[in-house]
This record gives sequence, C-alpha cells and structure tokens, in this order.
Amino acid sequence: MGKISTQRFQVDLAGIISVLSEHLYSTPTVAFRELLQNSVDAIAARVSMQPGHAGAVSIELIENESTPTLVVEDNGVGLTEEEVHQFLATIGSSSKRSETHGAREKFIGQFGIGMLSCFVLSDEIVLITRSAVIPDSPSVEWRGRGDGTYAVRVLDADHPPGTRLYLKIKSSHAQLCTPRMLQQWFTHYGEYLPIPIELIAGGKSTRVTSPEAPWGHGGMQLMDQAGMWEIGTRYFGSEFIDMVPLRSVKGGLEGVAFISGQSRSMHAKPQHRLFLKGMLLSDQTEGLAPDWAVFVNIVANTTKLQPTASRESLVESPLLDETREEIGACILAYLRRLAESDKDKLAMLIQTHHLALKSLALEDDDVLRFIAPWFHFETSMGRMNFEEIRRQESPQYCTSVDRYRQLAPVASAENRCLINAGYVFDADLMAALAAEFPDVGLDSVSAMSFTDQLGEIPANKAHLFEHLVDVAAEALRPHQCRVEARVFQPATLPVLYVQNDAGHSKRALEQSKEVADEFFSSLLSDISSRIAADAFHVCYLNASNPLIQRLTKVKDDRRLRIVTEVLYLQSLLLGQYPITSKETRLLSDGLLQLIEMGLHNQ
Amino acid sequence: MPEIRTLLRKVEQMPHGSAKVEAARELWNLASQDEDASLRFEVLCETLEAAVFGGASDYFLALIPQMVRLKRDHPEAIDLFVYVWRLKWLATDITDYPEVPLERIRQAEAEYERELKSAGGSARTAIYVRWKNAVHMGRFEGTDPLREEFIGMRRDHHADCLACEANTLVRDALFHGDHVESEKRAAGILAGRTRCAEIPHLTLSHLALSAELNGEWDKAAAYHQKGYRLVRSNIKFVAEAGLHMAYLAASGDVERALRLLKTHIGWLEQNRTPISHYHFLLGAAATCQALTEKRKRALKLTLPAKWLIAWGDKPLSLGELAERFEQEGRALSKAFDRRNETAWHSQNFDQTLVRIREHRSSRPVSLGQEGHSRPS
Repeated sequence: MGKISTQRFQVDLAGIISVLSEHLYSTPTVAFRELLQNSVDAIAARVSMQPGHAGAVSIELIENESTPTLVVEDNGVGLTEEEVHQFLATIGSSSKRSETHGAREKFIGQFGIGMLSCFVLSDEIVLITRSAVIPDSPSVEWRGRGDGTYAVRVLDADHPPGTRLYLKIKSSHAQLCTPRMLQQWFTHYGEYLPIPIELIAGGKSTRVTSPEAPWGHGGMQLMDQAGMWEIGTRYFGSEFIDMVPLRSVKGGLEGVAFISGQSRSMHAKPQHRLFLKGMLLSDQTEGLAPDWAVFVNIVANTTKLQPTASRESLVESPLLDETREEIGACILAYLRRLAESDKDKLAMLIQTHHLALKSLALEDDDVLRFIAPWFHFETSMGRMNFEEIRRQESPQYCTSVDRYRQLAPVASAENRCLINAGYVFDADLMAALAAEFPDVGLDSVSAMSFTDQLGEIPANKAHLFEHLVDVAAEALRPHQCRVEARVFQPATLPVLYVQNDAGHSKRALEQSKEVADEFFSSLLSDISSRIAADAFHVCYLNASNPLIQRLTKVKDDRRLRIVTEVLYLQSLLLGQYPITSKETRLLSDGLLQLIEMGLHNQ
Repeated sequence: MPEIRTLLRKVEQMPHGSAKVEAARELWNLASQDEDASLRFEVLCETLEAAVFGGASDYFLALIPQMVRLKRDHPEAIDLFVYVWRLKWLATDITDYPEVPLERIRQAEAEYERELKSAGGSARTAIYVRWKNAVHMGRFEGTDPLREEFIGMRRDHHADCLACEANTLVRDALFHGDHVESEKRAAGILAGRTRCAEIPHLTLSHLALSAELNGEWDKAAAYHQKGYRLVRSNIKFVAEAGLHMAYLAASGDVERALRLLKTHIGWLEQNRTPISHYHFLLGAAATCQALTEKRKRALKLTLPAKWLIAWGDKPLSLGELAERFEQEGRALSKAFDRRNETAWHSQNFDQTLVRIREHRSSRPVSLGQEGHSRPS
C-alpha cells in the first residue's frame, strides 16, 4: 500500500477576489459596508472590555493624487502582531469568532472574508493597528496585496489604539469614490449604526449616522409619524395607507411595516429594507414577511437573524420561520385593531388586498372567523358580503365562473342565492366557511346537483314533450349531449346547457383527436372512457318557454332537428364555449335552412 | 377586447388552482384561433402548466397533443426547452391513470428521451423519469441501479429542481416502508434549504402520516401543522389532503379529520386524477372508520357526480360511507396493480388502513394531545 501524504490546497487569491467581486457580492460598494462593519465590530469588542469607551469612526477621502485614497480609522480594539498574522492573513479566519474580543453576538461580521472585498476596490490594503487589549503593545503595519502576498512590520511610531486602513482606489472604481458618492454609499449602509461616523471629503466634514433609527426603541415611539411616512416614501417610492410597528422577540427584530395603497399580485415579492445591528444588510430583502403579506414593505433591524456569507440576504432557518410568524402576528393584530377602531380603513384595505387576505384567512381559522364578514362575493342576488349571505336561505356556491354563468340566470329568476366562488381562493374560502359556520347551510353546487333542483314537468303534461325530447336527443347524439325537458325560470330562456369541468376535458380531447399522431391517438383512447365517465353535459329544454311549447306542436321531425341543433349551438355560444369548425358549419347551415323555411312559409 | 398577451400576463400572475385553470382555459379558447403561432404556443404552454399545477391533469393530457401538433406545423414558433419540459410532465403524469398501459408509458418515456436529446439535454433526466415512474408505480425491482445512475450524473437545466428530486427520494424510502431513511432524505427539505412550488407540501403530508404511525407524535403534529396549511387551498393537492386526513384519523383527532373530509371532498369533482383519488380515498375511509367508533349518524357530503349517480343522494351512515370509500379505493388499487403488474397499491391501501386502526386504538391519547391542535 502506498504512503498517503497530506497536502494543502493552494488558494489563488486573485481568483477568489474575482469570485467575490463578480459572483458573491452584487456590487463593489459592499466593500464600503465591510469597512464600516469591521470598524463597528472593533469598537464593540473594545466596549465589551472597556465599558463606557466612546467609539468613533472617521472616513477620509484624499484626492491629491491621480487616483483617490480612502482612509478609514476607528478607535476600536485593534490587533496585536500575532493577531494580524492570524486574522488578516488567513482567509475565512475572523477575530469575531474568537472569545478574546468579546461576545460574538455583538458583532455584525463573522465570516472572515469581509476584508477581501476591499481588494475589489484596491490592489493594496495598508493597515496600521495597535491593540487596546495588551498595554504597551506596539503599532503594527500590515500591507496586503491582491496577488496574495503580504508584509508585516512593527512600527516605532506610537499610534493610539485602534486601526487605520488605507485603500488606494483602482482607477476603474474611482468614480465610486467622489465625495458625493461616498456620502451616498456610507449613508446607505451605515445611516443607523449606533456609533458616530464622520466623513471628511471635498474639504468638508459631515456626519454619516442619523441620530434616530426608524425602529427606535419599541417600534415607532422615537420617530414621529411624519418622519416615518417620509422614510416609507423615500425607501420604497410607493404610496402607503398605513404603517404597523413590528416586533419579533425570537428574531430580535424591530421595525415598521408600511401598508401599500396599491393592489399587488400574489406572486409579488415585496422587497424589504433590513438592517443587521444597525448596518444595512440589503434594501432588497425578500421573504421576511409571511407569504400572504404581499401588501407590506418593511424597514427593520435585527440582532439575531443570520445573514448569508454575502450578507445580502437571510439564511432560511427555523428562526426565520418563527420571525415571519411573529411579523405576521403583528400585522394581524393591526387588522384586528382596525376592526375595532377604524372599520372604513379596514374595508378599504380588504378591498385593495382581498387576495392576500383571503389566502391568510385560508391559513388560519381564527382569521377566517374574524375577517369573513368583510369579504364580498358576486351572487345571483347582487353583490353581497358574507354577513348578507348568511341571512339567505340555503345559499349555494359554484366553484367555477363558467358554471356560475350557466346557472346564475336560473338562480336569479328563482330567487335563489347562488354565489360565484370561481375566482381565486373563493371556492376554498366557501368550503372553509361552510365548515366554520355549519348553521348557514352553505353548500357547493355541482352542475348536476343544481339541475337536479330544476322542476319536473307535471305528470299530466309530460307526454306533450316526449316527442320533442326524443327528436332533440337524436339530433344531439353526435355531440354526446343528453337532452331533458324541465320547468325553470326565467321563462324567456329556451335552453339551458350545462356541463361540468370534465366536460371541458372531453371537448379538449375531441379537438385533440383531430390533430393527434398515432401515439397520442392511442393515449387519448386510453383515457377517453374515464373522461367520458366523469363528463356531464346536458341540454335542458325549458317547458315554461313559449318557443319550446310551440315546438311540441311541430310535427316535422327534420324541422325539429334543425331547431334543436341551432338552439344547442346558440347556447354553447352564449356560454362562451369553444366550438369546433364542424359546429360552426352546422350552425351556419342550420340558420340558412331556418331562413329558407321561414321564407317558404311566407 | 384586451390583448391576448396582456391577458396571458394576468393569468401567469394568478396563484395555481382551479380559478387559474379556468382562466387559462378561456384564454386558450380565445388564443387558439390567433394567427401568431408563437403566441398560441405561449398560451398553450401556460394553460398546460396551469392544468398540471391546478389539479386538472385530464385536461392536460387531453390538450397536450395540440402542443405537439403546433411544433410539427410551426417548429420556428416553439421554445424547445419549454416544449421538452412539458413532455416530461406528460411522461410522468400518465402513470397517474391506470387505463394507460405500461407499453404506452414506455413509449412516452422513449419519446421524452428522444426530444430531450434533440434539445441538448443529457440522459440524466430521462433516467430520472424512468426511475420516478417505477417508484410511483410500485415497480421497485431494478430501481436502485437507476437511482444510483442518475444521482451519479451531472445535473443539467432539464433536471427537476433539487427539492422535487429529494421529495421523490423521500417517497422512494417511504414506499419501501423505511421511515428513518425517508427522514434522512428529507433533511434538506425539512430544514427549508430546498423548496419549490410543491415542496415541502408533498413531503410533509407523507411524513406526517408516516411519523405518526412510527410513534413520532410531536414530529407528526409539526409536519401536519405546517404541511396542511400549504395544501389546503389548491385542489391540486387532493392526495395530500387525504394523507392529512389519514394522519388525523390515526392520531385520534377524528372531528378535525371529518372537517377536512367535508371541506375537500368537493375537490374530487374538479381534480379527477385517479392516483390523487387513491390517497384521498385512503384518508376518507380511515376518517369514516374512526368516526364509526364514536357516532353512528348519517353524513351528508357533497359527492362527485359519478358517485352521486351510483350511490344516490340519500345521506349515508358513517359505516356505509367507510365501506363505499374503501370499495372505491380497492377498485382503484386493483386497477393500478393490474396495469403495474404488482400488488403494491392494494397492499399499501389495506395495510395502511389496518395500521391506522390499530395505531389509534393503542395510542395513548394524553401523549398525543399536541397532535390534536389545529393548524392556525
């Protein structure tokens, strides 16, 4: 057996930098965030050892050379020479994972790759640092280059404890380092950091950090309403109708949800502005709120949720799930408050975001009970909310718009409450409401169960319609449609054509047969008997209709066949069913023949 | 009239379910006469997708020959990747119909493989489809080498998503009766690392029942709580609603199981996929059996038309309903087994019903109270 030798992987630093800049991070400006983050974490480490230490960060732009130089300085914990070798020269090693520098949860970073992002902006990083932990520790200079080499030397000069970092900006990124851009980007990432940050650029000094954060301490208490509206509009550029304070204990999250005034698709992925310990994680965070909450945009700060390595999104985890639930509970509590205090606003909100709220009601029975009275539905008796529907006798609902269209005229004429539950979520909402409120007697209606309720022809008159039904059945046999005569309203409707969903599949199958190759012909044959068994389509002749009554007196079978065929095809057209080219020809021929007959009679 | 493309964008935005199927179907009725073949293809593909993810598999199967014809007549109007992806659905979904013979399934697999190759796909997905079909049909012999083969190959853009593949691996283990292995294979899904439009929905419904029957009550309750929420508002998930019912019947929460039965039985009228009915009937039979232990009164359910015709519209006693659901389930099982040339579906149906009954009678109720809470 050969000897096994253990080798180390070789790491191509230039390649890694390329990966970082082109694939891991979405923009080179994240280097600004990493710079801020290292400074803030260094100060947090020092404060944990020296409580009361007043941390400060300054960023200076030096523009007196061909390309600008950025100098970032903090009075944080600093590093010893040993730590410089350990943490700055080893990719993936982070001082924030060591216990030396205090509790890990106080830090923003932890992956040990943040410093590398600076190579995206500069070919060389020069860092001068002095440890605040070990007394009389000398200042150390670390000079790292993008080719993977570095040099360390101990300096004679005395520096105050902390770290100063020099970046000579690459000419390709010089446009990012103008005074205006730096102000913009450092404010973007660090506006709400808890440490004062000063930017010295273009001959003036400005403060990057804001004195108060939107989440304040306990939601919106610190910031006034007007300030919050301004923030919502500035961040999301939308019109909002309200805002909701958010708090998740598990996710260590505080913030505000802005309620959109515009209806949104259920596929919408609202983007949230999420901060991690005051540092902007991303202004495009998705999935922070529950799926149903498509109508909110959130500004929040978290101290516990885990960012991914790029720190531009969150790690999917049970903690994130629990945080979502707590955020959902905050929004729900807000809706309940509205139901007590501002019914008009709740009505407007439900009207605007009915899809989202219906999906929420389907997830949660308590919500269903509370919110159901506010939902409106189309019914055969006009638009009604659920409270009004409850008062009707034996309300029924159709699970498809198509079936509702077929049956609504009859239900309306017979003063029956038929609900159109064919729109998104409505069928399931109705089923849930039927189970939740059994006293209402709410029931779904199939094509068959509805038409079962159509009146029978009185026994003493049934024989009058027998011949017509026989001839019509014969005429419609090629269309595989049954014929029955019944009594129903409105009397002006001569024919009611009804089919169930399987009827659509059957029609599609018939159409496909005309174009199918051998394999698909066989496949369609395999499944056709099942589809046919499930399909239900019937043409009901209305015995109350004067035209149908007159047809019972027609003795000419040929004429009857033509009329019933035309009535059948007309009912298909009225029901907006697709008709085949053969059916179109039949309709056309039938009409021509009827015209001829009419002229002949004259 | 709004432009077809505008309507198409609206349909695309709708969540999957029966309303989307209906809207897509109407749109296809409108677009099928349009002169623009590429627009027709786009609408048809969206309609096929709505049908597959909205529980209208019979409509999907009835309509797909029109897509194939469209490709033959207008190859220039076709997005080959989208076309092949729909053929993959065809090659797997036809196993859900016991009337489709094995020979036809083999033809569909071969047809898919041929089109996949012409679209530049590797053989991996074709092997995966053959393996998945074999697992779903209970034809386990020879599946292990197929599984090892596709797992060992490099994924390409024709492959199902990681979540779907992992879910089939979970079901593979469950169908072999190996609950521990199924949990292992589901680790990524349960941790939320892999998910898609149908996962973890499918996984959690299977695992809830399996965990309950294997004595892991807390886990089962958690799977049910999370999983049922995901499936309760899309009729595509008839099978999963049935499995959640079966879980509730096993855990002793029979009133909740009855509520699910009442809520979802109407779905069978719209989702007519036989394999989905198979799982639903299992849950419905288990629920009615459990209820007969507690009460005897008749139950009025909104039954699908064909059962209404066969059974009449008189309310049936719980015992009669349990018997009818069992009979229907057995008849379907036999039809699948005849086609698949195995006995797996019948055995699974009968044995699971027995296990649920025995489990419920031996389960200490006080320990299982966590499992009785409602998803909220």
